[in-house]
Amino acid sequence: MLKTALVVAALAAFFIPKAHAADVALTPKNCRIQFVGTHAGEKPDPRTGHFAKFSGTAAVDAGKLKSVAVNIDTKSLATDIDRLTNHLKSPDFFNVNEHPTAKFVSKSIESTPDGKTKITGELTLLGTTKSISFPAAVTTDGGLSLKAEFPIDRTAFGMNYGVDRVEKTVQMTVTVGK
Amino acid sequence: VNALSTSDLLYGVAAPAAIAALVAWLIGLCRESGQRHAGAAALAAGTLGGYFLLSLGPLEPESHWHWLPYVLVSAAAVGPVARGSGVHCVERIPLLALVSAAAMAVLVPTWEGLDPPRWSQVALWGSLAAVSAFLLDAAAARIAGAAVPLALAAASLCGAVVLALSGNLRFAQILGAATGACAGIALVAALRRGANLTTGIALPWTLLTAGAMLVGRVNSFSDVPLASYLLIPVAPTALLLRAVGPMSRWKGLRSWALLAIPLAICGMAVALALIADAGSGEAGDW
Repeated sequence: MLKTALVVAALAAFFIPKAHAADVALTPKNCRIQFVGTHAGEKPDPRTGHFAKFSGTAAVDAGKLKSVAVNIDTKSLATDIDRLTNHLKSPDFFNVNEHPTAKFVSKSIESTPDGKTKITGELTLLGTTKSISFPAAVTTDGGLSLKAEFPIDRTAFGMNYGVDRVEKTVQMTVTVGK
Repeated sequence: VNALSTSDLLYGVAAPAAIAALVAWLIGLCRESGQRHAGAAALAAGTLGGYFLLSLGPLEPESHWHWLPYVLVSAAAVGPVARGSGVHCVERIPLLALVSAAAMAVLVPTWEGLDPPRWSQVALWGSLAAVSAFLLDAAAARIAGAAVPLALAAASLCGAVVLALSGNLRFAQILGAATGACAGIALVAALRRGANLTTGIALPWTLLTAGAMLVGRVNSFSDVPLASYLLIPVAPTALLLRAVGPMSRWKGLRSWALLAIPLAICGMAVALALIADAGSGEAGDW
């Protein structure tokens, strides 16, 4: 009996994928990609937007985040103000008809001394690809959880309209899991 | 986004007006041929001045709407030539049609799934521009003074309002620069009584305005109706009533009252856009 149980356990260990090597699908159900733009001048009036459609994958191995890749449907951009949503979709900003997708592909992920994770990758926006790095709080116990807040310079991607009215720096927040 | 800043007014309207006035004055000093080119050259110089002062687009086209300045310059070169002495109406019509079709062919985007399809948009906007340019050309050649550039300034301004309501502030600023340029030409035309500085202006103004409305329409996610975009380039053709037919004999205030017709058409375009915009929440900055 004991011999049979040992054989079954050995077979299971061989055939069943290791629990700590997994790809996590990134969808609007478990992930949120948000941005905050502010007006230039004395009255910043921050405006928050998000993307409602995107898909991607995060690879986790041995309890560590190994890679992240996300494709974003820019036409799914939404804010609480209809006029703002329409304007952000226009060629003044995201130009979604001409550039219907944006994407991020990680190139390296490393731990930092402060216990965080530094993610470096290529962000493609308005057809322009730039390397960006940002810190993220990542945990993998009980499923992947990630939270990253970082600024990007929209003009680096050719989003040059109205720099005298809308700040060049846009604050991004990416949340995966709870 | 705040609606208007000081730099919008200074570089986007006042500077184009000053540039256009200077160009119209200098070129208008020449005799017949100079006057034929004055309005077209002034419109192009003033509008492009605003375009580049406000950094509205690159010099090297990368996107469909980046061709707008090139369409304007080309039309400003062709428009006055089409009005040259000895050019018959039978030659002028196909020339205006050809340039209008070519302009719309470069301005209509090549995106997959464009709705309506690309060929139908080129046909619609090309026909509209060609017919409007022909009718306005006939009116502009017959009406001297400030009436034509004033009507064009008003139509450009209304076009800018429609584009702003459609969520395209950059394209609105382009027509804002055209508004300033037309106002500058009107000022010079008012000072130089008897000179017709707008003989060749019809083609460049029509293609600039129709082109701006077209790129605004295809890039808009608002509920602004198609009629608002189409009415703006058509409106000034009503000036023809002041040039030919029984009403052309009207004098004084009655003659100026005919300017109310293009203004009413432009007002209708803006009113339709405002009604559509009213459903997008509270008015004001966003």
